Amino acid sequence: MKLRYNILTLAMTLSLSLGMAQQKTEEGQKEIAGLRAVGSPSNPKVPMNWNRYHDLKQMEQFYKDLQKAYPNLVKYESIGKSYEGRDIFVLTVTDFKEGDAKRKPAMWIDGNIHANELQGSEISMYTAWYLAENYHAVPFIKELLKDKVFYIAPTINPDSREYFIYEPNTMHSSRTGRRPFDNDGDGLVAEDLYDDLDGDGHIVMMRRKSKTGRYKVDPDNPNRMIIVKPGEVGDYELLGFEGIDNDGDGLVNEDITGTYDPNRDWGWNWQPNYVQGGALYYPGTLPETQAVKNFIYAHPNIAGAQSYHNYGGMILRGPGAAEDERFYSRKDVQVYDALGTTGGKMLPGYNYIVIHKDLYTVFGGEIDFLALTRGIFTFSNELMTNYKLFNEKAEGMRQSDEYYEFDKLLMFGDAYVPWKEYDHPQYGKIEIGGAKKNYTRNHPGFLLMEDAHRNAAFTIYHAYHMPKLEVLETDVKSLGGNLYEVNATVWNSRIIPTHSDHDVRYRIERPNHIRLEGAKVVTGMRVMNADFNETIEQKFKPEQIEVPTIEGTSAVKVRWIVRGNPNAAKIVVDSPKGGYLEHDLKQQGNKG
Amino acid sequence: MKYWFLRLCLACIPLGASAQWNYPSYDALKGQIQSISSNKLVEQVSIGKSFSGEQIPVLKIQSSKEAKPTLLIVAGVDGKHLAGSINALSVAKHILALPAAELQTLLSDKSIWIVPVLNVDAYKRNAQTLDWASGNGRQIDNDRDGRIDENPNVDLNKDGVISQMRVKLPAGPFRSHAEHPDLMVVADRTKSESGSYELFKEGLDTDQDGLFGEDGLGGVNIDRNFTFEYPFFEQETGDYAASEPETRAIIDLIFEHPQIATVLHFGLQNNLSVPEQFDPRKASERITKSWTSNDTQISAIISQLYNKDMKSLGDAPKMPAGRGNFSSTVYYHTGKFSFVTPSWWIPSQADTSKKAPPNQGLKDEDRFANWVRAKQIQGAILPWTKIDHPDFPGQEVEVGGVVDKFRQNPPVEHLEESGRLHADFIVKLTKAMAKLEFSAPKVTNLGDDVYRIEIRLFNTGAMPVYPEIADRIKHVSKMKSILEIQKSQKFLSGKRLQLYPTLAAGGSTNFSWLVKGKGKVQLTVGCPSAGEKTIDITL
Repeated sequence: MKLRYNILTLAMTLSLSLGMAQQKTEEGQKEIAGLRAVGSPSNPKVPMNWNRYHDLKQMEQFYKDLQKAYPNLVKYESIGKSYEGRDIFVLTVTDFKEGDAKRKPAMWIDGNIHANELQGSEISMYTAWYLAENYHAVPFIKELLKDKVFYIAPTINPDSREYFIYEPNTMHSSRTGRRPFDNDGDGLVAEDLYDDLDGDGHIVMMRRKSKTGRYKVDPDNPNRMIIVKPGEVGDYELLGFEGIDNDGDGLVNEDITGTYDPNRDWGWNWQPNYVQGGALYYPGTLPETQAVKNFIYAHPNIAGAQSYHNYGGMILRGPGAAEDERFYSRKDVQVYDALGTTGGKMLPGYNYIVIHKDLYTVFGGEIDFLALTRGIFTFSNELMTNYKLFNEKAEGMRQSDEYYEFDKLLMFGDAYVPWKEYDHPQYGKIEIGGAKKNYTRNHPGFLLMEDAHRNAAFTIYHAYHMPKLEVLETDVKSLGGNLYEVNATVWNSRIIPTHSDHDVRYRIERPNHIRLEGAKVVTGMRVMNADFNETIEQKFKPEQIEVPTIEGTSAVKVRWIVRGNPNAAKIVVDSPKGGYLEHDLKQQGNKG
Repeated sequence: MKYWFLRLCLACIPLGASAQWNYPSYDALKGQIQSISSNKLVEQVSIGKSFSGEQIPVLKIQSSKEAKPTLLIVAGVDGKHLAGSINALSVAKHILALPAAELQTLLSDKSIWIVPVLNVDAYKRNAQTLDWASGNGRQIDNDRDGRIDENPNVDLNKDGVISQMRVKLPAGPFRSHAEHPDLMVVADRTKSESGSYELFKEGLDTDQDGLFGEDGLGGVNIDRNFTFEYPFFEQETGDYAASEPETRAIIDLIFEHPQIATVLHFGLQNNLSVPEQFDPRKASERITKSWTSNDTQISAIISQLYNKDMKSLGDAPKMPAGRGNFSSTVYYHTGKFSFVTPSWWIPSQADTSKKAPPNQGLKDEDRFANWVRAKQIQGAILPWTKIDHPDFPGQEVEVGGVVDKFRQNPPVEHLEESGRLHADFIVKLTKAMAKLEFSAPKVTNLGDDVYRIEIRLFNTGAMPVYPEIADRIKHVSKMKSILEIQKSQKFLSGKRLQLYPTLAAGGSTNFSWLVKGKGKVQLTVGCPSAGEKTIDITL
């Protein structure tokens, strides 16, 4: 497959820039050229601050407002309930007036599966907002929403998002959901939680003065603890995150709610927790992942997917485990490479990499589920990277001191809780302090909007390259007597094929159907080589030729032998992931 | 009781007369389940619903609702195994018919739970219709061609069963068996045999893909939908592991009831006649695929027990459990001792007369045909009758041969002996499960209100408190001790709560604490799968 994506990228850029000239239509808001910063609405119907985080009530209000402002572009629905009974919402964004939304190639976007990784939700919401607010101003977006549909689930872990926001947590905790499990096998459930000892709403670190300690305070930054050099004497030991031993087993915070990982609860190469930490009883133990799976299976038009995480600045593709490398054929990898490499350019500081090779092994993850169980071209972006702090790569041995520097110079100390003394029931006199839960992994406010746009743009690029099928040419030839030959060429103008190689090999989704309606079909065939008349005849239902895949920027040819002049016939292209279109034979026939 | 009535009728048929298949319909089976539940030692509870919305019952044979170490028996996982369900109910009846005193002793510290039919949808369909398939009620695209149920079974010769279909050709892979002319076997080219038939399932090739009746009713085979080495994209395995409500219901039952110590599956594999083998390489891999060395020793012991009891049934065929199966998943992913047996098989000595050659070493097909002939099993191998087949115009096509359902499911009356023998074995297995006993606590006063508490715990059962693999599985309740002390007391050594690894059969563990301060303390030791004990100690 030859990927002409450079030309297409160029075309995309061109149409984007052309779009700027034109401004408003009836449904859109008035834009004044001098007020509109290019790419952003100056007067959005739904005003939003993209430099902050949102709780569930605020999120639902946003869905309502956006749907109300753009009823022809946005609909939101609940796809199921969380463990604690909260709705899991999906925004459907498309031009509802053009075509059947369920038949358009679809892009799935979700965020916040790890609840402490807040910004996936904001970036998902921004994407919906951006598409709706720019539909009238940017012709490229209008065209995109005519062809494609976005299913956007800003949070697929609502219980734990709320818990992270409103309850004491660290930047790493509440990665999980809210279903309590016995994590230490003692038969008791969630009996040793974090304790917000000083009641300030932050779970930060505990340190204790110690003659054998290996840490000291950084003379340049009192918030920071540094490891002393070999031979040097330290004066502190670190005692982990704020908490006490609630159940008397000599361990602190060892049975917090849900040390499970909702991103190990998916149905591809699932493994139990002794192989894959965070796994539960079986894939789909959680109602949240079940709800998403059911939605995915109910929407076979989903051809692309993005699942947002933090942290590290990565554009990840599968597989999660080395043994699954065999399911990524060269052809499929070429498609990923074409998209991912461009993504790397759109997202400075982000690297396009493979999960098991460059990150760590994951069994039972969502990305593998989407990509391998459903054959969907899927990326997962690890949002936020320390590159963003000073727009430079952190150097190897800096012990992440750029975070302290950034706090001092740009956050003016808002990112840390200063150390203070506390009397601990088990540890005695200690001090409590350290980074706040929304620092390090979640974006600082002013960086959030920039990254929201860059990531949204990448998913738009990804969605744009989901298959777009068109009937390129048809011709009708008389074979003498009452018999005619009908030929049709169907072309996919984008990078992503209608079926990945993996999909074709395992017959995941039904084949594309290219159908001749309104003619008496004697037989039909796929034309493999038109010049040398290499064909594969289809005996069963020849009027509907089954085509396993239409590759990126490639065409397929089909042929029917029909009885009677097929002037009144039409060709229907019906592809699960490539959309549905009808083509009148007469027009084209006349042209040919 | 319908069932007994049925058996009575069957018993009236003179000996040597041909045996009919005669499996009860699901309604009749439910009647049996209901009548067993009327016993005061039985509680019937639903563990969830099948894909088609039918309740899945569990029969809890127990002396009280108090959790005791439990043996869980599960049958009817693969829908083609009706015999397992019949035998599971037969076991329930035999156990409940034990002498009252014996039963009371058995249930005083153990419970036996039985899920007679996990794949309810399949039993319902298979007992009464032509559609003989392993799967549940979900509509699936069996041949993954994008069309659902487009090529269903067709009973071409209208004899009420789907059998085989042979097409005569100048050359083909199959020939008639020399001794059993109605049985088709593959011609052995290495012995210069030649075949002249192609063999298919009776039916039509509606979608012209070369396969006959390959996509009709029949959903996901629950016994291929479990998480251990789940076989993705294979026939009847579902969209992904544990995609089916039946699969999730049984795993949830096991995790939510930590007292379940051992699981016995009447299904289409067998690790009882031939025990699990230890494979050090497979056992040490990240994704372990061998029982641990210690656990295989227990497998060997239980297997010996089993083979002794089943002697009269003859040699069982080798049927290792594997990918996506319930039983392998129960051991590797839920951390329970997991045993599986078809509970009935074609006896190795089909013909009891001494002259007949023994079945040992024979191919499955020969064993089957010998058994059908010896026992005069009616309807299992049919004579061939000519038909006109639209897919083979002008060719010689015949319908007949083997009727698949007989392979694992003999006429119901043939299950009687195996049901009784398995009940005997299950009583022994239940007794073999771990049991904990304490030594009297030893308290030493070290002076100044400092006390040393020592106690020894013994496992008097023939099995460990749980398999070794369970020590690796987070959600299995472990061996633990909790020593509750008064506010005025203090631990000088030891902790309030401590977890321990599994305790072997006949093994013991010592516990000790140093406590400062007079007064009562309360000690709880054990684990749900072997029982927990609480004692008060005064310092």
